[in-house]
Amino acid sequence: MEAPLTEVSSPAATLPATIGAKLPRALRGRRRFPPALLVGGPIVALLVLLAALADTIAPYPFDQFHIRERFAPPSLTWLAGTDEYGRDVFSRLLFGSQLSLMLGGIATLLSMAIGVPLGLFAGFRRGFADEAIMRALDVMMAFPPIMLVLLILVVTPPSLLKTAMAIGVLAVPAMARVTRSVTLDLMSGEFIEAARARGERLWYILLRELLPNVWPVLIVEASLRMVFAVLTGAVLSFLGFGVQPPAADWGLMISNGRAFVDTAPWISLAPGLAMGITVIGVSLLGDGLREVLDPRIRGR
Amino acid sequence: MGLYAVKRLGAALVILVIMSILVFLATHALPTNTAAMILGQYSTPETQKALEHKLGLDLPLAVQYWNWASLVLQGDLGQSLVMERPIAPMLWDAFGKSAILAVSAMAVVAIVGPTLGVIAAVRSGQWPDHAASVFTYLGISVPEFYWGLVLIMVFGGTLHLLPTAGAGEAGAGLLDLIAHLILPVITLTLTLLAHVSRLTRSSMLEELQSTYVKAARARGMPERIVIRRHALRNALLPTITVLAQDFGFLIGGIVAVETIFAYPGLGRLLIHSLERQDLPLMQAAILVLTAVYCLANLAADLLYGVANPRIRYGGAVD
Repeated sequence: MEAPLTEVSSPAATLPATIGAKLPRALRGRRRFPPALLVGGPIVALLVLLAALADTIAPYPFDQFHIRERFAPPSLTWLAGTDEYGRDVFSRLLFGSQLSLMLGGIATLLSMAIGVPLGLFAGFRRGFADEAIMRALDVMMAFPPIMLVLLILVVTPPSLLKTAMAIGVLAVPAMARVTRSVTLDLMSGEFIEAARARGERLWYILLRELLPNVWPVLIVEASLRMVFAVLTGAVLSFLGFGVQPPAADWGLMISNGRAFVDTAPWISLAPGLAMGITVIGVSLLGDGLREVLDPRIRGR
Repeated sequence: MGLYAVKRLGAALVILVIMSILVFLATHALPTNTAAMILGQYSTPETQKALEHKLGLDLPLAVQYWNWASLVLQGDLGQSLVMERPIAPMLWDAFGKSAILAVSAMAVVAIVGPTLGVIAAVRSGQWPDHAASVFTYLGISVPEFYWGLVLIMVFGGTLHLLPTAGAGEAGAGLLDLIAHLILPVITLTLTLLAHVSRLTRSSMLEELQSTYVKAARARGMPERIVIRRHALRNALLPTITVLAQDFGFLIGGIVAVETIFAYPGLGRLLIHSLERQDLPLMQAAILVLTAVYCLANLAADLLYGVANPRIRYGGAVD
């Protein structure tokens, strides 16, 4: 079958195709990096490093009691103080970073694994498939998000993996929508016409032609999803439906410290601060990457 | 517009029905045995069977759902298993309390959010803009219950200025109620304020660079009027939609905020029912919260149509 080659695409429509210039190339050509990237990048890098090395650099195991040292204020021995069982808050923060990054990572990857193919397919096929997929996602988005997660978590026993998966599923519609809208923009590009003319198969076009051009936008969306996952995970732990004690989860630590805010505020404040730094770091990184990758903003 | 409204209402009803089925199925998948729970320590296999039969728990699921749904439609939400009281009065009482909280928070967000955003946009690149963006990052960087905790620490623990728990005594007067509302409302609004002001700022910036604003300025119109009459009206359109979306977010936030401030609203009732596995209460609370969420979305869509005459709800709106 012959594919129509006559259609002339507008310059605006072919623009997104140039995002295909991969990230390293986009960065290399720059004389000035956006400040958001310069601040967010190192924060995230440091966090990942701390999480990876938590087992080596943490002064104490996350669940070791020091009964005589309960409620010790921050000092050189206890960098962030100790909690009601005399556990070292700093060590727990380090181990908590593993949980937070894992939760955010799993949730984000899952939402991408389901949402991106759906979005690509809907945007590429248009018509009935598009309509069916998007309306189904609309229905999903019509439910109050926290209710869905609570329902899932209440029905089965809690675990980090399950919390992450529930949050990931929740983010699927957003992921699919972004992917679809970028795909729709790309569809008028000549490289798609060319691939069709070559008689490439559907999945080849989706994965080899479209996906590489969509992913810069997806990185930015992923940073948003990651933030959302970490914050939602914290709320769920706080409510008692997420990660269970004695895990060193930040949300759980904030929640546990509630009873001692007057006498030992560091038990709650320290994990909140850690979470704030994480979220700001990831958001800044996302903002910075968008400035580098998004051609609409790049021009300004 | 009329047809669109009817269609949207229909869609909202379908979603409510689906959610009610989901809620029903999910709560039935819980490991809790209702009959054993009611019977408590006097439970034997025989009495359990008898009670299950009496309550209709041995009927097929579809029949059980039908019975439950038709009772709910008649306003009968059943009995709480744990508190052994009819659910409806306690649910509506909690609903009223939550509504006061949500509406106050929404009012604050709707007034302060756009104001902050417009100031940041008009003073773009100057200190008010930077202050607003710092505030924005602070607002979104931690879950709202954390700010609640910090507020409790400062205003309750250190300064002893404001009550940090409950909704006040019944009949203690309006001032007492307001005092109890201040901290939860601030907590609820922080995240939303960040969201709304950020959005208003960016749409305002966009409008300020548009040709019609340039034209108005070129005609020598005072900047004040350009901003108020021209840019602001258009910039506020997306804000309306976001405010409505945020209402859904607010419902999520309210659960955590009511928990931390021990505010006797619907969110706290829901958490209570989830913790105790009180099935009928759980079903009722989730159903009511979902209905409110659907209605808020519906209202937002319709409001957007009214506010933006350019929109014709004919074809597919994407």
